Amino acid sequence: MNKERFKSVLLIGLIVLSVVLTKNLLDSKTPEIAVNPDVAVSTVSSSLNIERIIYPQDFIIGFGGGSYTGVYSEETRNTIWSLTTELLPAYLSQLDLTVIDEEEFRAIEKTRSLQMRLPFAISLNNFGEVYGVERGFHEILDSPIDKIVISSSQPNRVYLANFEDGQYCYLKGYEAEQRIATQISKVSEAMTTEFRRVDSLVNFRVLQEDGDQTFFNEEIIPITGVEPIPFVKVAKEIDALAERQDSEIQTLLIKAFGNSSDFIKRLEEIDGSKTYIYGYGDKALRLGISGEISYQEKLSSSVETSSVSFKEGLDIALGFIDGYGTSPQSLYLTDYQVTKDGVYEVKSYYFDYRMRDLSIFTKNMTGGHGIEVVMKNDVVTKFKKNIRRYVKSIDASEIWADGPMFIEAIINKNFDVISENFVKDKAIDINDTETNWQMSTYVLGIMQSLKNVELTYYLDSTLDDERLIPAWSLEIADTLYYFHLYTGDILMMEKIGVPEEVALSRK
Amino acid sequence: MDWSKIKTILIVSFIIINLILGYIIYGTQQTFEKKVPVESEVFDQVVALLASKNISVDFDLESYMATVPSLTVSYESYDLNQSADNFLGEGYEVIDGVAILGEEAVKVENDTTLKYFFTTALDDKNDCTLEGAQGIAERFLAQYGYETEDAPWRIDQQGEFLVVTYKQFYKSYYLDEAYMTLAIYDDHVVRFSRKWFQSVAVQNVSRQIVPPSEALFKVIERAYNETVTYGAPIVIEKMELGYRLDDSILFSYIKSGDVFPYWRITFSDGRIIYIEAVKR
Repeated sequence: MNKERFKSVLLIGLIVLSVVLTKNLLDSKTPEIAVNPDVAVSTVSSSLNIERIIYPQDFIIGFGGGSYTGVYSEETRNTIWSLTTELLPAYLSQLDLTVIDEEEFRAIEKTRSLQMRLPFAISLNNFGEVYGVERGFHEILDSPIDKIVISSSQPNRVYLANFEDGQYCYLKGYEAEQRIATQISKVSEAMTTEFRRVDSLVNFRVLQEDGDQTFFNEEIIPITGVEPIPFVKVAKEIDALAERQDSEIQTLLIKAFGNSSDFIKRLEEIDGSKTYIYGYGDKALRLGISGEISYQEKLSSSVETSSVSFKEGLDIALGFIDGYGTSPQSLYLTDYQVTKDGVYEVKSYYFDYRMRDLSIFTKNMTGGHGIEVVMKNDVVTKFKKNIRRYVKSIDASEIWADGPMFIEAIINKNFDVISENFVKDKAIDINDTETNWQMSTYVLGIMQSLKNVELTYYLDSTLDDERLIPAWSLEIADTLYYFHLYTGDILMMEKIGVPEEVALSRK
Repeated sequence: MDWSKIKTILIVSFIIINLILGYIIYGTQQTFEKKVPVESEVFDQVVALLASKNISVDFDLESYMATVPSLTVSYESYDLNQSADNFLGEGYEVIDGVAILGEEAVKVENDTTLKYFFTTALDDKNDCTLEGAQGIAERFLAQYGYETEDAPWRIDQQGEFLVVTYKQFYKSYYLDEAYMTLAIYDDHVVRFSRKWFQSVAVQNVSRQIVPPSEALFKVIERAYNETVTYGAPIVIEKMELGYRLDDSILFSYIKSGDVFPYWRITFSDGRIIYIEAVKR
């Protein structure tokens, strides 16, 4: 009996052992990633409309008589931009161009007009390429433009400005465009917040005492209450903590490295961020814990590349964006730079996106941009993306019943910090008795240096706070500020400085 | 049929099945590491070519591993309080992430680097000898539970101190970026730091290795540029196969990850060149 019992136990043991050994053998034969052909990613972007990628940073409507409003509704913006992108290419192809001076341009800004400030200065040649206009423009068009104005008082012209280089012109069309006036009236009826020029708000008598100073600032800021803007709860695009077998991660890996999984290494950082490296670092994909997807490729000199135009590069960039996670419909190009690296031409494209009609500033990304694509000739060597998905809006009006703060109130609240930065930026010697820097001239100086006032959403991707905070962004002298819309607290401030070579390369 | 007889038959057949399975698994693992002799003819040609470029080779290599596995390594992570308890005992104070008690202090950098050090300046002459240093280092490691079977990788004079360095190995392969250093002054350790892999796991993938001759050939271009720059002849002292973590500007502070084999070429002046060792 004992012998039979021993045999039974032995048999069970042997069966278990064979199962273990079989599993062990099967494991060692299984490839690291089971490649599913169904998840192959299409490389060509179909969901993004390239003509919407070039899109103004802000829209301002002038009603004449010093009254303005800012347009934040996506629908109205799209209508205005459609009209502009219909007129401008048509006028560009006729090329009836007249150079004007700053005074004339400023005068047109004061009329009933549609005004669009571009996020970066784009050359008309590049603009024309996107809209299919033949090349060979007037040489003035080589210099980039940063503002477009269409006035109902000159309905067959499109005014263009390049403030940096101080160049102004208008293009003429054959027919007067009636839709400009219609559009302005429509916005006027729906207007909720009135804007005024900063220089129209300042008490001029203070200036007179000082004598030789002139006060001029065409920036417009709201003088009536801005409608409350909700906070937005958002979610990261990817979860860096997900396992390698996760289907989203696999899709990204296939996109980055193709179907060969054998040479992929995985590294994990202390915070949980993961990097997948192909071979000895030829290509690397990093999934950061704060939601960013970064890709890097070492371009071997043996790889054949060819240089690309602005639009060809833009197409490549968009194709790349589409493959890594989602591409928001509101995506638009916010900056573009060209530099040289040996034999290669390096093109950098920066993109941003909007949520609930406002642009999003992402802290810890280059220039706060949501997406960065860098290519050497036609090969993308660097890609970084950190965008969020919309979850829900959180009403702020109950917590902050007073509503959004005014610009002046924000400046008042943070006056110490702002004036300290201002003194540094302008290299003012406050002990210099000759220039007689009094409080009033101080305030004037600050108000005169106020630029690029904008409503935005602010996202600090390094915090575990998945909320977009409504904010005022503005520049004073050489400092960029982000203020909490309701509390006026400084969310972020940094020095603005565009290196000269970059400024030149945008052409 | 007799139930007992069936069992006997089953037992015998399962023993056979298990033996076969065991043999296959053992066989697969064996192919992960395969030692082969160096093709001396090609190797000598490359050495001659190096010599013509003013680079001499000062080592013998008779055989090398033609296949090795990839590894997955994971760093030890340290808790400041636990480490402070171990080194300082009770009564320490934590200031700005540094645990301090009297002259001694402990800190943890990026979770994975442990540092113990004396906060006071030492001004007397160091009486410790090279021979004595190793013993002091070994006693220190034993005291705090960080013993290692390997001999010190090197002991050298750095300023006032004798510094004993240990490196981590997997079998005979070096593992870069894992080390212990102990600075010795008189009869005690005044600085200790440790970054060590807690686990080293073998992956089920074996890698074909680039032969030493080919790796040396790749050295030519990189070393030659430097010879031209510095003008001095170069001596290659060592050529070893091992593993190292990749570095990139993309990431920082690695906790764990997969490592590929590299040939590590060490020059007589201490410079090191790494050559990717996996055949593609």
